[in-house]
Amino acid sequence: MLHIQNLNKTYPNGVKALNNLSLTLAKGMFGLLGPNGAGKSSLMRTIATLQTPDSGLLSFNGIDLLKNPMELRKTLGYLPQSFGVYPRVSGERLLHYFAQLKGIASKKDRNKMVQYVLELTNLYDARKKAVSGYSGGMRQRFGIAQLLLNQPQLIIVDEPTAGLDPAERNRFLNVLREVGTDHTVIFSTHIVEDVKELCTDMAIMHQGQVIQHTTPQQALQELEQKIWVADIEKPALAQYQTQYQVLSNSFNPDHSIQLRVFSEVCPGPHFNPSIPHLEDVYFIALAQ
Amino acid sequence: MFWSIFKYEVKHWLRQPATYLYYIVFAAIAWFLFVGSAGYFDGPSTASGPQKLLNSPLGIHSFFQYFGKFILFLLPAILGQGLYRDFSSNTYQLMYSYPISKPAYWWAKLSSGLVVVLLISTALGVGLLLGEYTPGLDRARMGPFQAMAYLRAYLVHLWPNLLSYGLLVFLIVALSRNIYAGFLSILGLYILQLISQNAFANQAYYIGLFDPYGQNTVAYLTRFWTLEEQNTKHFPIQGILLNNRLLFFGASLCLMIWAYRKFQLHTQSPLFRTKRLHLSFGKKANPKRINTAFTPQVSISFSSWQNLIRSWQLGVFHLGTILSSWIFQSLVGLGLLAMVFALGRVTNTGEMTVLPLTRIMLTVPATFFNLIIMILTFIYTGMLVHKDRSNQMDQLVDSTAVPNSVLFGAPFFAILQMQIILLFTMMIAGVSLQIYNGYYHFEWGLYFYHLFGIYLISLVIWALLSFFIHNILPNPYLGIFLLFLMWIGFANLPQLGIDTKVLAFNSPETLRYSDINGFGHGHRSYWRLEWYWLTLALLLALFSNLLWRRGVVNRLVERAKQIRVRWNRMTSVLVLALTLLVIGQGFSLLTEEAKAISRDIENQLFKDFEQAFAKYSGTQQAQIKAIDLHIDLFPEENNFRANGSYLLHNESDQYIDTILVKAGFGERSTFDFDRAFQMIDQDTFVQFFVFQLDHKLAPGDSLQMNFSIRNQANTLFERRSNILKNGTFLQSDIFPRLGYFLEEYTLAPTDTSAHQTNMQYPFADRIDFSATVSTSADQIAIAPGYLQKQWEIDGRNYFQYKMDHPIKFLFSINSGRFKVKEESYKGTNLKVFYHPQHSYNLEKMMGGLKGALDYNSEFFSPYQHREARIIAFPEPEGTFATTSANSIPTSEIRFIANTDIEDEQIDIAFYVSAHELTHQWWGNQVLPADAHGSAFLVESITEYISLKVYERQYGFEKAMQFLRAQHGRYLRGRNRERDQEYPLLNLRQQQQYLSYGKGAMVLWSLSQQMGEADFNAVLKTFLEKYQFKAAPYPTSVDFLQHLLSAAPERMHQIIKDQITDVQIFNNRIVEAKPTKLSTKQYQVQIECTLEKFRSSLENRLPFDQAIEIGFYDQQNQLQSIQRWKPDLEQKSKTFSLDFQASRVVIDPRMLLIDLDLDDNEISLAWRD
Repeated sequence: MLHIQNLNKTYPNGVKALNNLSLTLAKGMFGLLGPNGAGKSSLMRTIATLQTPDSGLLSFNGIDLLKNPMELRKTLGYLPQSFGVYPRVSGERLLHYFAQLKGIASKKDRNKMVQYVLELTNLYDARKKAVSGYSGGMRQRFGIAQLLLNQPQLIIVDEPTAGLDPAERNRFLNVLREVGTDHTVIFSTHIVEDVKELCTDMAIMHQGQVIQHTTPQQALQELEQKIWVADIEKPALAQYQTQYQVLSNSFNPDHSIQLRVFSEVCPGPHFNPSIPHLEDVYFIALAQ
Repeated sequence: MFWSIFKYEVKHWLRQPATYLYYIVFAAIAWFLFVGSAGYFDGPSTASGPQKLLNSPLGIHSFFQYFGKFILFLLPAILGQGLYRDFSSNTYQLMYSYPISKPAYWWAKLSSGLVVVLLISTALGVGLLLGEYTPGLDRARMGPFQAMAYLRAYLVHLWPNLLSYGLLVFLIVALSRNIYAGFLSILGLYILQLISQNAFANQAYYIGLFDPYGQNTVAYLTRFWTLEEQNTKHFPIQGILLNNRLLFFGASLCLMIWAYRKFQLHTQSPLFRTKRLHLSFGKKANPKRINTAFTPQVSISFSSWQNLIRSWQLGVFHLGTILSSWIFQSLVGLGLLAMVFALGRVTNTGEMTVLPLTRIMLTVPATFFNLIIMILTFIYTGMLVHKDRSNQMDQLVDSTAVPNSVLFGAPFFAILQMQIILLFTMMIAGVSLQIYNGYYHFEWGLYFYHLFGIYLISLVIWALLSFFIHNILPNPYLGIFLLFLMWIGFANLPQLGIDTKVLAFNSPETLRYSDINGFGHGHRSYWRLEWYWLTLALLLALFSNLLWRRGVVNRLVERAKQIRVRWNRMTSVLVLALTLLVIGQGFSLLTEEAKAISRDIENQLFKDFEQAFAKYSGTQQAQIKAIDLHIDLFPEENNFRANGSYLLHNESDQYIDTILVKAGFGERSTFDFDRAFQMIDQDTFVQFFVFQLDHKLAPGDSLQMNFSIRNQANTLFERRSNILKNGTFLQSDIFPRLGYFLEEYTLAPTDTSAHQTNMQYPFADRIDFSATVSTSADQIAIAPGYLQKQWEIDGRNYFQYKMDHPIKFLFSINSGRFKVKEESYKGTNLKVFYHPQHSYNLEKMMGGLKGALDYNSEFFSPYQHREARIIAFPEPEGTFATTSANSIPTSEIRFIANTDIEDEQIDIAFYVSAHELTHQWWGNQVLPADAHGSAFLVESITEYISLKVYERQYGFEKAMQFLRAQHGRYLRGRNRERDQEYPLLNLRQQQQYLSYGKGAMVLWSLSQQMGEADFNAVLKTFLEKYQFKAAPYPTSVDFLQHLLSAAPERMHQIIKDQITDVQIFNNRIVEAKPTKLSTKQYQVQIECTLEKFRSSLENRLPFDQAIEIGFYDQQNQLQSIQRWKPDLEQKSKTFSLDFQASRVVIDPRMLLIDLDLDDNEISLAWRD
């Protein structure tokens, strides 16, 4: 159980990254959604003990993160938004290096564990190659491999699917699904679909605050019958935007615009009901 | 495009605080250097006479030279960094996709960086200028300000260097995309200079030409300059200097053009392409795949023991990256190269060549390599501290549960392992060099102790400081720069007037090892200081650990806050314990230091003494006639105790009632007389005592004075006696002397009153001597005279010596664990007391004694003793040899000289022994007066005779080889002279380049021209006139008159020119045309320039001299010498020969003092 209470963080340049944020998470996959600059990474780094909040409380399974960061790190697996590696070091050697850092004392144990995570992340064949030469997807899987070495209870992955091609993204999500079932996994992304596919719990962050904490199913359920679509001509867009709560718009192949609108009741005759997407949840939350 | 990049770059640097830091630091160092040299921190100067000016054109130039080497490090830091920034921040991928043209990018980056460096380089001029106008400097060392001096230094020296090596650094960083490679190339220049200095051992021209800094080039141009010229003249911008500047600039430019063509605005380095990975999945099935359904069970441990092992193992991981980096490999390669050349340099000092002993390996060559290890330590601690961050792996590492101590410990162990590996490399290199030089006596213990004891502790302390500095600074280049600054700064604290060692971080004095006496007294203080610094370094390490940068914190303030979380009870205990230890040790070291009297106070005390006691100057004193000593040496404790008595005799015609005693300065003495007396005055600092006798001492009457002496207690830093653990060399200055002679000055040789005192000591002629010396059971003690008795009491050895006829007041007492080589030669006992390992040159030393014995007895008179003995003393006491009574104390370095004549070496062991024994005639049988020019009588004549002995042993050509060495000594000394060069007749005692170098050349020349037998006959009659006589003693003027009266008329002008004037020649063969007339008749037409000067090249004299032209045959024998007296303007002459000469030499017997010997000969190419 991860408990976050009244977390505040203001950077030296005046940006308020975390604004009195409180959140409680149980076991399972937790998706953190939010626009760029919402404070997702700040929150995740804070939970990963890499930065200290100005004020607030943080605890995981009874461990006070601020007073005892080392205890948390023992059960923590963290994959930052972007990371590099030492050049010209093979995947296997680097994992051994991390295994040392993560406290696996005997060489035999390290061998076992490294082989296990290599298999799990499907990197076994590439283990002798330098990680610095890995492709984006392989590198992200390597990131998962390293975080698994200490069998973490709390896993934090920060926008891991950004920049991956669809096949790699699938492969990655599968790996994550496999490891995430028994643990608390915090997963930040701005790809809403990721959350739908993986998460049992989710929150939307904006301007350093959690503006909605729900589950994907519940959120979608709440929007049943409240999402409407209409095709309009481009010049009319501005008018529609003032008149209705427009969630998103996209071009049709004939250059007309398809509009998604949130409304308790049918907003008009040319509107048709639509199945709610998780994206709609996100936009509604941000609009509030 | 060019301008926008250029402006952007320059603005970038002007916004960086580091730019201003560099400027201020460089200006400050330049200022400190200048005012420090001008005695700002030393108090009033005591030197007198003309001095070398600090701000003369040459003086300013030498500041620029010294400093220019440091300023070059700005090139990688700024010029390299400007380019490297784009690579390290990955902006290059963006930049290169813009429509930027290659020329614009390249030249804008290059010129902007250069402009910034040139701007910063003005700091040097500003600092020196401020220095010149700082009040309170020693004005004797300052001339008028000359703007031209600065301008020349910038235009000829500093800026061309910055430009040439700026190009070099830029292209290296551009091609390698690695900024450390830039630093490396600057270091490479140092090595290049070292190599050129050694590759062209005695060819000053080429050393000058191939000096990357132009330092030796200017030295070459000014090598014949006198002090006066050095103080006033501008060095000429011509010939070699221009060639040198163009050579290095041209080479850099060519490389730059090549690199420019090679460089591409491309995302991959043109030199080092990284291999891209191409993978295919699932093709190879692995048979031993494991089941991923079950997570393996592993045990996690962060116990202290486990963390220690972990740090070590991860250290090995980091070490791998260090060892495999090409920068590391190149630096080590350069270091090894430097070691090879440095060895050439220490084993061949120009005056002596020595064997590559282990302790010699451990001097300059090892220091060089040690320096490389230190540089690597500074660089790689920086790289390791910033490694995770620069690879963007920090978040992965920082969020693991590993404690800081492992994150700090792993790189620390990596550095430690690197240092150990490098020290091993050094040892292997050292041994290999020894083997290469045919030397097989390896002292493994000394290697291990020196490298893994003395060096390693210092390296570890530097490493810990380096970790601390890099840990608190965000920028590794700044860190490296700062560390260099600290390293230089701490070692130079005394220059700033801070004399205490307690503030000079990790900079104890370099230990000097002697094979005889080991590390000596400094050994214990070295370790005490190093333990002190290690304690402090550990405290720093503790804070490095607490402050270790972990997580997303940037500012030091934030990190300081983290300390609160990281601090625990253990931290408190450690901090407290270490702090107390540092303070305690510092206090105890300060207490030891306080036992020494500072220089300033010392000067004041001397002044006070002079004021109070000058009234005793000129007080008639008795003469010492006999000495009886009893002295106990305690080698283990570096102490001695002595009792003794003088027999004083009133030789004057007045009554004497006041006895003035100047006791040994560092000793504590008490006195007693055989009649009633009172002490009426004393100065406890100078150790000067005034005694009044109740009953005056009548003319012709005698008096016994008894004394007892002990040395002051030794301190940690100071050994206050000359008693060594092994190889004690105690000189007569510890014994009381009579009279007031502080303000004494030397008289001119023409002064008739000069004849009254001898140069050795004013209050004794020749004395009877007897002594009993005791020492530890394993040592032999030696004192003047002959061994009368030897016995042992209470585990101590006693030796009783007695001299059978009077000796001059100069004696030494030696003690050591010696082996003795003994031989009887024509009734004289020859002995060598030597260190058991130093048996290399014993035969040659014996040979020198025999040669001198034969030659001097044949030409002059019999040897006055029955015994002659050479006794070794440790090198830290000096590298000289001297004669005292029938002993010849000789520095151990002479025992390890490389005297291999076959190998073109000079047999210095033979020569020095011959020289010292010859002093028995010249210096002991004849004792000169205390006047200027006396060294001419003692040293020049002795040096001439030694050369003749040498010639007898090894032949004419070998003697000429030695004479050329004397010539070199004369020129070097002349160039370094800070006073003026006097004629031999009144040369100063300390002007050894004249008494040895020029004196030997002049007397050799006279002997050659008069004939050896005739010339020696003149010496003989002179010797007989003064042999064993008391006052009046002879001066150089007496010798000159004697020489003139005995020499033939034709020699008179030559003798006067050489002895009473300073005349130099610059003769040169321009061309030699050989013609073969028949098989028996040959002709050589020679064209040459002949020039004669007084003192300097400014003062030309008419060339009115005969000159010899020598012809060597095909066997390289000097076959024919032809005399030629050219008319004033004649420059060409044809000589007839009856053989086919191989080369022609002007003045082959070196009868004239020619500045440049290299251009005096020319090989002949005969055509049929």
